[in-house]
Amino acid sequence: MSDRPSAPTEREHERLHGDEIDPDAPPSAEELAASARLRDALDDPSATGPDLDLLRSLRAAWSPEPLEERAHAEILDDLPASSDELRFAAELREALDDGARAPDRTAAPRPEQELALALRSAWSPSALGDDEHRAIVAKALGGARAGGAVVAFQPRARTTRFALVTGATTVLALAASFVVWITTAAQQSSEAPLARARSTQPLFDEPFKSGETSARIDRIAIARASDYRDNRFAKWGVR
Amino acid sequence: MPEGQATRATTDDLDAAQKRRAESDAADRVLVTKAQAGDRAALGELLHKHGAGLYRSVLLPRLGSEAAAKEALSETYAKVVANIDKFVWQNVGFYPWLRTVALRVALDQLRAKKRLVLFEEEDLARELDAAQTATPVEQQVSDHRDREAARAKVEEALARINPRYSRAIRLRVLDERPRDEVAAELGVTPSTFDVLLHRAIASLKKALGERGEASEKDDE
Repeated sequence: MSDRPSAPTEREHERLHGDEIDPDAPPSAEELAASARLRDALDDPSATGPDLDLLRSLRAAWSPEPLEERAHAEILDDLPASSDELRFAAELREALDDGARAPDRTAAPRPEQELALALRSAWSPSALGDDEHRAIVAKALGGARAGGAVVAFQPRARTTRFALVTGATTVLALAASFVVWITTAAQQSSEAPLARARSTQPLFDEPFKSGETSARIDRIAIARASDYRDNRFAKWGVR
Repeated sequence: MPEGQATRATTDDLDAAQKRRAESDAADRVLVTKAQAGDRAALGELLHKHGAGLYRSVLLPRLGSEAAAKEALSETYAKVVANIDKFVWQNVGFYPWLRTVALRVALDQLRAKKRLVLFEEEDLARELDAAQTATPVEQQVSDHRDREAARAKVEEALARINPRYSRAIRLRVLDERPRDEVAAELGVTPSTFDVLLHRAIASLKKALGERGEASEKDDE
């Protein structure tokens, strides 16, 4: 015995389709009005009605639309929080409650905390404390002591004090100039090499057709600008 | 105020601002000359004058944490100390050079640490390219533009997530309003708001991560 369904018998067809209207039968006035309503409603996502519900369910079954990320987020928003989420949410709340702008006070801040504080830093960055800034300047100028204590930088040096130590400074300056000479000589040998003037030939692997000179000039200009930038950075010692 | 007086007042303001800038530039030039002759106090004075604005407008918004910004400021100063003799005074003053050095240091730091922050490497690379010609001579103007650029970056990031999430972040993180107040405004309990905010940040993190992946693909 075969599993393939056999064609419906005449009686079965009548049972299944007995009251079905012949597709090619001329429409009644009522049908014409209903079909116009359906046509308009199909283009209107907010329209409702039993026929539309059925059509939409057919469409959803046949080619379901993806869920928009925002709609998904709203659904997720209503889900109960997991224990991990509750813990992370509490940590984030504490970090924000403290008014902390940087996660450096905790050993290993979560990326979410870092991001929240990065947003705050970008939106309303806090000022650097004057004492702390002095300490950073002093450290850069070589004022840090071995024990970690920092000699605070004073912006306006007192001229009287300088006058008193002029003699000592002169001697030190002579010694320092010798050190600077040695340091400069050492630096010169380790400086980043500069881009040299060169032919433009290596910039073009393929032959250019006539009328494309603009693209050719653009490429030369880009390469030269890049060299110029690199040379500037190298000269400034920031490459 | 009659129109003539208003115009004269504006012209006077401009003149005064130009005079202030000229005086400031002249003072900076003297300090640079001294610093290049080895006067550390003069160099310290230059750094002290310009560094605070540099930290607040350039480094902190771009690096996203105080610790990272302070580290970058230290490194910027170290580079300035090592290279002040290479600086050539031009009519644009000292600050554009200092800002360029700082952007370079910040870019290196972003490349090395790979933390998830608002600014990407390519953002800083672009700013660095533009810094040569586009840094305003007046530090206040430059700082203002840098701050505006950082805020625009925040807005751009928030536009990528659900509006409810971005509202939660805006009210609590950016406006720094109290948690209970924000929860009430969003129509949830404070404890529900904690979770909402956590999810908002997680959603933003994901959006920024996707942005990074997309730009990496573009590079390929």
